[in-house]
Order: sequence, then structure tokens, then C-alpha cells
Amino acid sequence: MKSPASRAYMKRSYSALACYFVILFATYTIVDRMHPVGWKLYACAALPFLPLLTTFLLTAAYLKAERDDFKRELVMRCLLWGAGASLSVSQFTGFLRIFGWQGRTPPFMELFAFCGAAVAAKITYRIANPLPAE
Amino acid sequence: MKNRLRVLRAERNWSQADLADRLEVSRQSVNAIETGKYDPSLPLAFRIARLFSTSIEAIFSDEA
Repeated sequence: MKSPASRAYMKRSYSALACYFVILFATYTIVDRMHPVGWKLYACAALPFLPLLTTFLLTAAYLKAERDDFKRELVMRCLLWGAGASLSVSQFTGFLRIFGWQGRTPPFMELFAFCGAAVAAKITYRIANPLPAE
Repeated sequence: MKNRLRVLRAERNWSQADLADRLEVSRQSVNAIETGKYDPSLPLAFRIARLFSTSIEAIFSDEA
């Protein structure tokens, strides 16, 4: 059963995610075809971040609105795993770069690590704590 | 923390889903509380006590 806060959060998050992909595709196309430089390039790079920032604000609003403490704690736990994975990837590649590593990591790797770890944490909890049949 | 939630629920012939509906939480939450994996917040503990017309101490007890 999803709480009203959870339903509203999912709906808004999917909208923000859709905006993210549209903006990402649009800015990628603009940069690829028009080759902007200077502040215009920075602006293009910053644009896709706006929906992501919105997602974080939506999450904060959800955590405030959710009446189910347990679900709130579960979401917090998943977000922590996501943040941990994201920072680990950043730390790992950053450390290698200090020592002159020239290799390339896939773009948005931290974001994928964040989402992947958060989803994996949720799935792991569900598998480890199945609901008994009634 | 130990609790008598499962016993109280069984006495009333309620399923976990019934109790979850009455408390306005998820069934996951009820299950986690019953199995001792999660201690409810004070507001939720009060809601549970009110629902069963008893005190918090009569439902939850400190293991120490």
C-alpha cells in the first residue's frame, strides 16, 4: 500500500525525471551542433542539473509529508546507500587522477552509482524481509 | 524492544493489512514492528495504544 505522500512523490519524481531526459537530450543536441563556449557552455551543462535538484527538493518534501515513520526511515537508508556509492565512485576516480590516471569513466557515473545503489538497497531489503502471507 | 502487537491483533482477528489500514501506515511497517525490526516513533506508539484502548507500556516493554 502506498501512502498518499508516496503516491504524490512518485508522480512528481517521474515528471522531474522525464524533464531531466528532455533537457539532457536538448542541451546535448545544442552543444553538439552549435559548439557554444564560455558561459553559454556552462549554462548548458548546468541546465540538466535543475530537474535533479528538483528531485532532491521533492524528496525533502516527501520526507516531511510522509506519516509512515518506517517508510521514511527506509527511504533515508536507501538514499544513504546511494550517496555512499556515489561518493565512493567519485573518491576512487579522484584518487586515481591525483596519480596521473588518464583513463575515462563513463559520463554521469556518480549519478548511475547513486540510483543503482539506492534501488539495490530497496530490493535487498524487500528480499531480506519478505512479508508473510495472510 | 519487545511488543505484544501480534497478540493484540490476533485477539481481534485482524490481519496485518487491517491493522495497517487502521494505523494509516504500510503493512511493511506493521510487520517490521511485530518482528522487532523497527521500534515505532512516539506518535505511532500512541496511535497504536489508542487503537487498542490501552497504554503504551501494556504493548511495548524494554528488553533491558
